[in-house]
Amino acid sequence: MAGYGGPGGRTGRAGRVGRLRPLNRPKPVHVVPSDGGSPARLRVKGRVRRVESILETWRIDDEWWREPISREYFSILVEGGGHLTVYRDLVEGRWYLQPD
Amino acid sequence: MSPYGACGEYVELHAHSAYSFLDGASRPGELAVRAAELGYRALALTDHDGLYGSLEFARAATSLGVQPITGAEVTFSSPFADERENEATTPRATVTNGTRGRVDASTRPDETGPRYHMTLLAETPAGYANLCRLITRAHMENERGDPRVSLEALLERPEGLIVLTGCRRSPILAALDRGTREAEALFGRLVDVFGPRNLYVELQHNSVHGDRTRMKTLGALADRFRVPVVATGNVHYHDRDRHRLQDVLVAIRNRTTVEDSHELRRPNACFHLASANEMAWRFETRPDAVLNTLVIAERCSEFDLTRDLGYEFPDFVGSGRAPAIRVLAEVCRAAFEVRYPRGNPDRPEAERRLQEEIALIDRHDLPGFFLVYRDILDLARDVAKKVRGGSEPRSLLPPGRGRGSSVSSIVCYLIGLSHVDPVKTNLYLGRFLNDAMGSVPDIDIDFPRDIREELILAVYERYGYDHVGLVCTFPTYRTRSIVREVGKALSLPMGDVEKLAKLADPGEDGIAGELARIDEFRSKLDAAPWRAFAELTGEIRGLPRHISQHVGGMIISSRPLVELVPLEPAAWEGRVLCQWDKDSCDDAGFIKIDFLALGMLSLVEEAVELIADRHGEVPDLSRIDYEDEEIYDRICSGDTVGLFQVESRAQIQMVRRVRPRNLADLAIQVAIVRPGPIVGGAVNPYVRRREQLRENPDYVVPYDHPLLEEALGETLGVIIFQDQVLQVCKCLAGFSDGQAEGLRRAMSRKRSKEALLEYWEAFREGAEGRGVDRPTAQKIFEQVVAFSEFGFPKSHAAAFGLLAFQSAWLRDRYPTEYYVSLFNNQPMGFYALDAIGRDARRHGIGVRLPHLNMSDVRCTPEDDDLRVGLGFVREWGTDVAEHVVEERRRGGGFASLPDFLRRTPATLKRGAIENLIWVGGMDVFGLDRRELLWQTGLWLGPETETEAERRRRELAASGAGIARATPPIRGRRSTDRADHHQTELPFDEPYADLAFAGTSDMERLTAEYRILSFAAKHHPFALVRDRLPRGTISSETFEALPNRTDVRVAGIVVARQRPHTAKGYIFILMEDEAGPINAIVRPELYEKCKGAIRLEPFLSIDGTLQKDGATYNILATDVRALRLETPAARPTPASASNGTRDDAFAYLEAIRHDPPPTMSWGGGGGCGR
Repeated sequence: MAGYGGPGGRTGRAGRVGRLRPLNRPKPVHVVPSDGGSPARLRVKGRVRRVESILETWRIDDEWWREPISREYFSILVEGGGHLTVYRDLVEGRWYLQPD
Repeated sequence: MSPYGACGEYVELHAHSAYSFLDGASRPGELAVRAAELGYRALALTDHDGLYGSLEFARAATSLGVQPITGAEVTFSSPFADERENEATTPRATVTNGTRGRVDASTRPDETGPRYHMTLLAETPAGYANLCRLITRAHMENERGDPRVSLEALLERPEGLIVLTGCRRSPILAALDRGTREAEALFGRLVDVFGPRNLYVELQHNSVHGDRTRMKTLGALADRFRVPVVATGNVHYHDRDRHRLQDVLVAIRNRTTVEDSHELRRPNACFHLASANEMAWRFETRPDAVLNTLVIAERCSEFDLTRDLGYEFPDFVGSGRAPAIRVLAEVCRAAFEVRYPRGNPDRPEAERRLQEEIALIDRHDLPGFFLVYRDILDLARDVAKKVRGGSEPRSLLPPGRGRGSSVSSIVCYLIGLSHVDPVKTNLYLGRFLNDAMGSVPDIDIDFPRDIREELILAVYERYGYDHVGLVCTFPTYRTRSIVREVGKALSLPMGDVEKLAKLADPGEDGIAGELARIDEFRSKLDAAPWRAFAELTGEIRGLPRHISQHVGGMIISSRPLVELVPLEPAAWEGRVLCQWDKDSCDDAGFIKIDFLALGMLSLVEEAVELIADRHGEVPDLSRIDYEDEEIYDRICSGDTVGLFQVESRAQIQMVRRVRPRNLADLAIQVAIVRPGPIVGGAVNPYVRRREQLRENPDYVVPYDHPLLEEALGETLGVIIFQDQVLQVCKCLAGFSDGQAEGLRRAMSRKRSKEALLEYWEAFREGAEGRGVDRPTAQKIFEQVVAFSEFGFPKSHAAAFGLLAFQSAWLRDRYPTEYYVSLFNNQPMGFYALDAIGRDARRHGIGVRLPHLNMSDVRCTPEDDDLRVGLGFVREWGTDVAEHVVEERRRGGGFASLPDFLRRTPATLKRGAIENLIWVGGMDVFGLDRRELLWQTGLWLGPETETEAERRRRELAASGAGIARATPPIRGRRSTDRADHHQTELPFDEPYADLAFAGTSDMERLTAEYRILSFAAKHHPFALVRDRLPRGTISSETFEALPNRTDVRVAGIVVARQRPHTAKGYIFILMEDEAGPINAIVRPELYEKCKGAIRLEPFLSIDGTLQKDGATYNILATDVRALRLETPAARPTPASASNGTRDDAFAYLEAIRHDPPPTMSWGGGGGCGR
């Protein structure tokens, strides 16, 4: 199946993926959300940037029969230009930056 | 003020239930309840191409104060002429790093082009009729399971429909993918037909990747055309948690696992019924879309499915002599003079009853209803004449027979619907027709299978295809299918799943509880997939799997049925199903006509024909001696295997104690082993009182109250028949017809216990008024309530008792013909063919193996024995067998194997031929079976399809040419043809002296089981009787043993029963060489030995012999799988087998098959065979 590249051990087949090196492994990112829960500001490469606009949002809920994955994704434009994809892991409550 | 003025509201207009079959995970009722919890004013049910759950939903929603909206998500084929060529441009699933722009999983493009969805809602009755017509077209004009219509079909009948442009799989979105111009062209056509008032652009936001963009594009398109937008949730489950089951259903639908269906499943859990707040948030950029849900809901409030259906039963079309009541009275009067001529002692009573019934029928305006039935019965007579051909013997039999409560009606008797004299049999009418009837009465008619098939078609012809439909059923997920399918979807190990499927016998706590009870599965519950399995198996239970045909119900309507409910083709060609099941049809007020196929009637017809053929006499079953002592003696001895209704394990035990001596007793016998009398505590008192009456004719039957004597006299003071409940209430508590009818209805509904208690007050007061003290009244009322489980009305029991006697009479007088017919009409009744064959042998009817030159397609009588038909051989289809028999008739018997091969079609495969050889079907050629098999291999070669067919063709074409080209065969007649041109090749006979080992008894018996599913000669134990566990005794010794002896027995399991009325006790019917063995297993022991009891086809049981008169039971203390002793452990004289010692193990293994499933006497129906 097409799995979800997860940070660290949060992948479906932990044992098997151990030997593989995901190319686009998500990285934890510091995000300040707005009241509605969408990202308002985030720290990228040591700099805090404001979110200019949200282009698209989507959510996935999967692998509930093993170790549930639940994420809310945001495709955003940040201050000063730059298109990023971040998600909030709804299981653990943390934010990640999803490399393209 | 309109209820839809309020803000902060939302109405869901696009919701699927489980009636979208594997694309919806909630029952309609669950959706309705959740909608009420969320404060919805209305909710639409829009299943895929069907209104299967619409009425169930409408009733549930209405009762919760939620306005039901009727609609469907209809599938459309390509609206574009060039779509097929450009199929590649259809939106496909894309998977990138957690984003899935996948589309609706329910339909995918296939070789016939892509499919699109639009959501249609019925605003008016005309709109509902158009929706029904459209869905009917979608189903009737396409292959089963692939409904679709063209967009043109929708445009032809737009009145009364509100069209929502559809989900992510809408034609508009597909068109947008191809370019704005194309989308505008298509949309323009829709606007032209529906106008901006009846067309809405459907916006969905389920947090699926791309939803925002899609919403924006669609919104812009709508604005350009000044067409409104509407928000929908594309709901597939009522509650977010149910998304897991939805995922599993998708995996099941695609025959894969959740793991491998990543791209087919919906990407998240946001397809639930959402709150108004959540929807406002999802659609914050288009608040008008949310508001418009309320506008549409208000418009749809005009149409109420529970009220506006407009069904009418076809009126009686008389010969201008109307009114119908006079016609009915005349018809009855004419028959009356024949049935009750002057001087008949029953005439005055019959006269009184006829007047009473005619008056009731008139009062309820039902004469047309009865006359239509009479009309159908006339049709049945014509059909019977056609089906029976020139068969003289069968023409004496009625085309069909009434069952159920209608048998109590003298009108039904006089117009030929039933064949039991209700006056003579003293049948109580009130259950069928009474003053306070709320709905039309039920009339059920049993037919032989062949007549029923034709009659259904004839009814279509008579009333028109648009006016007739068969009632459907929705088979639900049951334990085994749940375990297998959910287990597979979750990728659980197949071995575990299969074992659990056979072992699981869940109680109230479902499979989850069962898992916790079985040792080897308990520990698995720690693992996440098994935990999910335990939970999901509970959620899926009872969900509809697919649509299927109800056993007998037909709906006839004077208004075209296609405007009342969508129709679709049944699996059986030429038949049409309506999309509603029995309950929905009942709720819609449809009159359901039940034509039931009764195997026993087919048997009787065939037996009568065989008897006439062989004996030159035709028994008139209406005039046989119904007092014949010999017949009752045999029944009373428990010798009833293969008889109608009195053959089950429980019946055999009961019949020995009740000892029926006439038809009235037989009616009681038929009715007594039912949940009603059992739970009502009627069985033991009745049996004891009968025993006492036999011993002491002066015995006075005790009644709980003297007032009961009239109602319960014939059943010795206890309630055995359903109608006695009503009579008791009337005579003891003075209930009116209406009260009694209300009580009966309360009893027949599932949630009836509370409803029943409401009647207690009325009962107590009524009884007090008649001088019955409270404790007595309470005791009797408790018996009445306990009877709320299923029971037979007396009329039904009388009809079935009569047929039971006829079957016993036929078996007694013409046993060969009876067993032949019994074989030919399987499956029916309680026993497998194997057990019936052994019973036949016990009665001196030999079962002769199939014989290539003597067997017919079906079984036939031969001397006093039964010759098994060729059609019974595995892999011999009826067509092939018919062909072979026809060829034999035309060209004479087959002289040799090559002769046979040359004259038979290539459709007869090598495997089938070998099967016939294995069971001795070609022993006539004088060769050993192994040699025949070897020769077949030479002639036909390996069974690769094309190769075998090629050789067969060559063989047929060149006759002996091939015979010469292949090694010559010993002992074979030459099949030379003079005109063949193939060069003869000189061959030595290298195989001439080949020796063949012969086949052992065990090999033969194994082959018989494998190929025929029964053994013709030996009992399976005959060959291993010296290998049974030490200390095993034969059942023939029971008679000589004292009561309460400890015994060990072994047998082949014939039936296992766990009646829900028996408090967890299990009854096992086994058979050893001498005959049946009944074992009773206590609940504690069952828990301990469940594996063996549920999984093993052969058991060894230790226990105590309990003797009660002629009834023997083993009360088990241990139940194990039968293990044969090794020769070393138990040196014995030579076995009956000529195989080696170790064969025995292989043998048991080979004839081992799954044990019969656990049966229950409970549940509704279950009264025929």
